[in-house]
Amino acid sequence: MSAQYPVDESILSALSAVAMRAEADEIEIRLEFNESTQINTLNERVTSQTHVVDIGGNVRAFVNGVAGFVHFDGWDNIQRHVDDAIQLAKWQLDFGQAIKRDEVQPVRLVQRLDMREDPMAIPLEGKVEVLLHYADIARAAHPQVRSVNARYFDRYRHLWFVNNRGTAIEQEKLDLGGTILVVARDRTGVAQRGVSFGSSNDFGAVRGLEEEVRSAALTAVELLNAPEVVGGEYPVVVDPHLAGVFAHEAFGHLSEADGQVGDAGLLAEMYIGRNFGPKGLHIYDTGRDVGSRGYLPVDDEGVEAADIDLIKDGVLVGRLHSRETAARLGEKPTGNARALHYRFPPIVRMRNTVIAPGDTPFEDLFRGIKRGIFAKGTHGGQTNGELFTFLAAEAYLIEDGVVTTPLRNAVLTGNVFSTLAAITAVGNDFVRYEGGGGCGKAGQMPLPVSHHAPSLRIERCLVGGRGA
Amino acid sequence: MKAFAERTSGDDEVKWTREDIGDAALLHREVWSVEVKGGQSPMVQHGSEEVRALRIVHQGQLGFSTSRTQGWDELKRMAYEAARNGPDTRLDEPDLNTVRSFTHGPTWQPGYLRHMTEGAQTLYERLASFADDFRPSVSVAYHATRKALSNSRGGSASWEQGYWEITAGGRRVSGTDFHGLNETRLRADAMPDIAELGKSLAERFQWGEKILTVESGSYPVILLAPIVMSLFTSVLARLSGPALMAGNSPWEDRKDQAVLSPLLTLWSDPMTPDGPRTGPFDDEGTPTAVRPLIEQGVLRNFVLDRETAGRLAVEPPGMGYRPALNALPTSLPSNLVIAPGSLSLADLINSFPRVLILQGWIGGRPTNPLRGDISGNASDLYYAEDGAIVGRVKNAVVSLNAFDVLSHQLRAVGSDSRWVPQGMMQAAPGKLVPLLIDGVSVNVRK
Repeated sequence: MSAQYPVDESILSALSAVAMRAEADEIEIRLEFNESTQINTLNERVTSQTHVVDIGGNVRAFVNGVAGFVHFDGWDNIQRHVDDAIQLAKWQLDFGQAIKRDEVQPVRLVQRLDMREDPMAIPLEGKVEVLLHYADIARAAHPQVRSVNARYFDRYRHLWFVNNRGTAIEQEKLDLGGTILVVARDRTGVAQRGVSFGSSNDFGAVRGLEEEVRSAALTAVELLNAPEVVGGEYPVVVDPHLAGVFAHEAFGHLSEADGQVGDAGLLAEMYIGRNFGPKGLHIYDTGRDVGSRGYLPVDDEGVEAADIDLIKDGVLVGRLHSRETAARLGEKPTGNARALHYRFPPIVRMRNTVIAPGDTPFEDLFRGIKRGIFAKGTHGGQTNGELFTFLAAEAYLIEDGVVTTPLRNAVLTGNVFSTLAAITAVGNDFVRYEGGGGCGKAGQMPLPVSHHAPSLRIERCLVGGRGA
Repeated sequence: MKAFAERTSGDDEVKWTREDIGDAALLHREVWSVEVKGGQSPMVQHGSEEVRALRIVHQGQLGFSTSRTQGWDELKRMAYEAARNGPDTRLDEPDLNTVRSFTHGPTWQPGYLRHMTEGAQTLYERLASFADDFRPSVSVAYHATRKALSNSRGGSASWEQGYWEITAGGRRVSGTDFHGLNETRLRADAMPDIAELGKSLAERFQWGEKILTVESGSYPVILLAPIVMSLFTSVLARLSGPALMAGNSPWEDRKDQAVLSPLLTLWSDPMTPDGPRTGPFDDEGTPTAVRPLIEQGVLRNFVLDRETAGRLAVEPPGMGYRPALNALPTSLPSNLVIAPGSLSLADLINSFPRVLILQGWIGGRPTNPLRGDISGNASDLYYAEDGAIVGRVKNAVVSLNAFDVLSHQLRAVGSDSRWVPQGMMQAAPGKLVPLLIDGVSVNVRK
């Protein structure tokens, strides 16, 4: 890949020269080359395939505490874009919120991709063949499988970033993922179950999913006649996939400091040292897990990644920062400022959010549950800081410690603060799950993130549902 | 790298030959915005995008190419290459000579930025006055799009659309209670009324100051526009061309049959004057018209682009829109509009001695859109008794099935239309009204 798009050292030098002479308190210039492929299939045929090349960039300028942001396609007229961003930053806006962002050590870095199996080296036909192979497997699994929708994408990014503090970074990034969605249908309704995959360095993540696809097909059929869950409070056991989404939705977003600054009420709750969960609960965010979709050694403000403990021994010990939020709260930047694309400014986002493994064997998580829910996988989740919701892909009733009947439409919800306190066991079955979805915030979606976690047991979790 | 940014001279138009079947779109979008959030640096933003997108049909297979920098000759070469492995297609091209260029909404003027700044400042101050610890958030944006379309039949057309979008709200955190507010106003013909938005948010802030708990059970619930939009995600899933092609839609053989309540009429409306997608033709150049999707509960039209219409051997209805600037047109309505009823919000509240009003929920989207089961953690739920709103309900999960509530549980359709923008979860803007639903399941954490 690097050979195809050779490094031009003059790009960083030229951009640095423009940044250094700009008349702004701070200025950042980013240029990107993005090349992406997306394939969608339905059963045995391709329904769409796109190959997109985006070239463009952005400039962010700060003048007296106001940010001016300009994004553009192409690489022409960089100086004019810099002038425009400064002019916007000089717009008369006074909300009494000016702050000087934290100074960080200038970073000079050229980062190349270290691939296991390069997706760009796989011809389109090869990618299509894998998807159609999975469709064959799912359709052969059961006659009630009505359709198989498969989606694959890969996205290569080559970025150049400079600021007027001496930072100059050239980076390559890769993100790939997708989903095999199996839809079953009979006279009474439709049901679906999917298999998802993702990686930041390996096309191999797409291979070897045959058993998972077959299992998803049979589960979709099983869900056709599953009764709807009866709403109410239950003890719940969640599998590692769902536990990871729980950590992301229920706590990760609350830890993003751009949601905390300027909010005296929230900061009074989110003080460092507050007890949040059981002694064995350890949640952290890392950008240094090579191969995960949340791998991000340097963020989009040029800050090198740090591993950030958020909860350690059940106690709040950290939060996720951009340079601005760190300055406002008197803490250190953590390398969590991310932008989906050059059309967006960086905002505080998670990378790979991890619940460290505990010491409870999986079977013991069910012990003593008279009537509860076992939830596996997820169709996604959402939070507003206080409340969270996640949609279980599969759910089963637990009766007297044994998993029994499948249920449909299990939506697990709760209050973040009380639910974290209600975790009573952390499993020792740690899984590095990588899915093909992404995180959405402020219109920037889907941002590649990862969640690695073990199974969890949560007491008194509110489950939505109409069943009676 | 520089070569990627350069186009060949004389590359301003696609050179169609007699053998070609295809179309080309030059899409230009600009956004200006002023964003202010408590505790963060205010930001003034201008973004411009220019995308070229080209579709080619070659030996019955579709090739698509798009780029922000490459010229038409290169894109055409790439589209032919993509067609070799592309999907089978029934795509044909409309006669663009039958449509005229048009402009919808105001054209950007530099003076607008001052209006936007003043509007943002006024709203921010209004919100900050709610309470000392209220954290306001305001975004005032203007979106402008220029599109030029040509095709291998020799025709061409172009159009411009512009609209305003104002989103405002904020949050007050007291202990572990988050009292959040958020409302959006869209308008194409003039900047939305800042004072009206401020007043509406102030009213809702007052509604929510007192916290209540209710018992778990079955309630009449008024669903406000953002919630109504999440119900129609499921309805659109059953109406969409791709679901029909996949054989997944339970409504595939229900055309001209009752599928929802007779109180409900739903249009794809490209003529409404204040709509973001208003225009005489869609993104494929197909002439548009107001199309009833559901008319008094009866399924009248599916949502089809030219590809799916071709496969069903019906006339393309003009519902092929791009979900994103560099995406292929797909089956989407223009502006999704519900026919208003005659009851104001106050009338709806007075319809039952006790009623809940749902404005926002967390995770309120279907686990399976075609089935329509939805459960959401209510983040913005109010309780009214004897016609008066008495407080905000906490710790409640609202569970429903979109098709049940839009058929036998629907009691009345409100008259107060509100725009809900196209977003991360909904692929079309909607002008929607409150719906009064009976028998909604509400589970409350003790």
